Amino acid sequence: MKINTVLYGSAKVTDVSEDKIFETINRVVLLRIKTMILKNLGKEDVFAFKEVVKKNDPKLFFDFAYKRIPHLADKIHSEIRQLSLELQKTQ
Amino acid sequence: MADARKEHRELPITPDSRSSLLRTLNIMEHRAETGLNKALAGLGIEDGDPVKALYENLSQDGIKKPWSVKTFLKNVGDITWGSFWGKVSTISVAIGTGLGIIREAALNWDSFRILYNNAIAWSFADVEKGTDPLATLSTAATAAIVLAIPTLAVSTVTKITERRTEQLINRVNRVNAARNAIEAGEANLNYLIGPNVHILVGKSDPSIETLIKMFHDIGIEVITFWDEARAISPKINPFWLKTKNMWTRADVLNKASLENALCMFAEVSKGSDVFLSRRSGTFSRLYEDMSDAESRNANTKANFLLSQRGIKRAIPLVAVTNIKRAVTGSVAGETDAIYGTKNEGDLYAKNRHMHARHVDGIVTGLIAQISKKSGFPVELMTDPHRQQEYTHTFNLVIHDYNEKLSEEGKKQPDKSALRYKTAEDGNKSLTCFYGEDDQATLKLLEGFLEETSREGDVLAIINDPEVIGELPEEIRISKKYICVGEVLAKDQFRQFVQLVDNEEITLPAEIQSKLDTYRATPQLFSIQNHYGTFELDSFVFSP
Repeated sequence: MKINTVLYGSAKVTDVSEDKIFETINRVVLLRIKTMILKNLGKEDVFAFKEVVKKNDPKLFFDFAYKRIPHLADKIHSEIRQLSLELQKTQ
Repeated sequence: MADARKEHRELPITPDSRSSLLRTLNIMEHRAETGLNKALAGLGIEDGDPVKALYENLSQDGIKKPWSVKTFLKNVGDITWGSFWGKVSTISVAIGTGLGIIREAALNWDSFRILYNNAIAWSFADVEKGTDPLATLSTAATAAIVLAIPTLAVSTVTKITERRTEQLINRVNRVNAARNAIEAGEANLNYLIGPNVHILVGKSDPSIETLIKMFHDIGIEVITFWDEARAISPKINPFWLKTKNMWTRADVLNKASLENALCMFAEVSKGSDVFLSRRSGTFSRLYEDMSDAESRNANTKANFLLSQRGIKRAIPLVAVTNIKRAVTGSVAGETDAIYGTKNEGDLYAKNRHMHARHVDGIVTGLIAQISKKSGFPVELMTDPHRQQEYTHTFNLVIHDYNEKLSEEGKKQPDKSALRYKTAEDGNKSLTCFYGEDDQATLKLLEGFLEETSREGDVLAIINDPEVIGELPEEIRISKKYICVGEVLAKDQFRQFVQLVDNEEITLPAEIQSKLDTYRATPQLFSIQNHYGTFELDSFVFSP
């Protein structure tokens, strides 16, 4: 028996609907983060933005965004919190 | 408020409430897509521009892979989080703890890190370095959002969250307990690892790191046994058991995944000391960690415990020791009976599955080959207070070596025999530097390297591979040294391979296949230095 079975055996998700909820949250979060990043870029960043997107490497893209946008981590979390509040209001 | 929350918590999770949440999320997703399109258009990136499609698709699906224990230890134990991840996780915990959802975990920063890592794992992302940070971030965000949604707000998510949080906390507790036990050398490894070898180490041994690496290379786990604290980093090998200097204890051996044990190695105390007291068998608890008797008895006990579990096979023992150590016994009584002299090698040889490796023999064999190649007789440069003891031992091994060659009919006095330098040789000799420890050897080299190498040649003998970097440049760059740790690791591994070839050890097919490939590694069983490439099996004493 491997340790990961012991440690993570209970993590198995069987409810398909729960998966759908998580997947959708994931997609929404990602879309909003991408939008927020675009809104924080200036016209002068467009060329570099296009170049890095063409490389189709999320890691490179993220490095780029983190360098260009000050306090990106704070902004991302602000976005996440906002989304969380919106979800609460609708339920 | 509390009552309302309780009331709401008891609401059943219905397909309707899930559907309702999904509908909301779908609307949010549609809005988010529209927002993204507008933002792209704002930067002049319109439909038809390949960058638009690329950016929209820039993501990576969460990798549905649980962590292996190594990854777990690596991530939990050693990650230094950068400012970005630090911020993300700090805010996440603020949300989580603010709502009291994960307060039961009594979080400090370390346990939060475990919880957070698990939250990500729970959301099916792989946080190993090098994976897509966006995917990791979004799944981390999912965890944060789910943790952040108040129980009153969404009954569906509340139920999910509660169940998951409970699972998460239980898992964190188990993870913490397992991690602490592994770190303390007290874990029951029976359920944790598969095919493995045991190494009884004592305090430290120069061959241990190299040997562990060789086994890891072919997919075999290693459990090391130390008296109190392990002297190697958990990064090299996380699995160890504390013996408190009692090597035969059943409670320790029973935790060592005996069913999956392929072989046991014992680094008997001072077994790796090349020229030390090979004829003396005295042991004192003040200075010794593991005697030859203890190494044999630990193996016998392990096999006994195995048989108690209904498994009829013996775990072979490979012991690094000085086989010529004397075994003495006195008769108490009226007679003066003398039962002859025994040595440790005799006792190992009595057991079919016990194999003693003799460092004196292997290193002497190498010195002999190098001496022959250089054309110089040998002399030993050592500390003054070790001079008598080492000279005595060195003389004996030279004698044994030459005798062994004679027995095998290989003796060619003018060419092959190992010869000690005499007065007639003047300063023309191969001077072997070997102090009582590596630092003493370095000091001797510092003091006497220049004059000893003027007419003859030099050979440094060091124990620990770590010390190679501290050798004088003219020794290190020209490779005029033998590293005992490297030699012993290769010799022990070679013995293991031999046991596999002799079918004394049966490997799982996957590992056998890896070994078949690995054994083609150049110089796996030889060493290369300034004087050439030398096989290790050139001269091994038989008991």
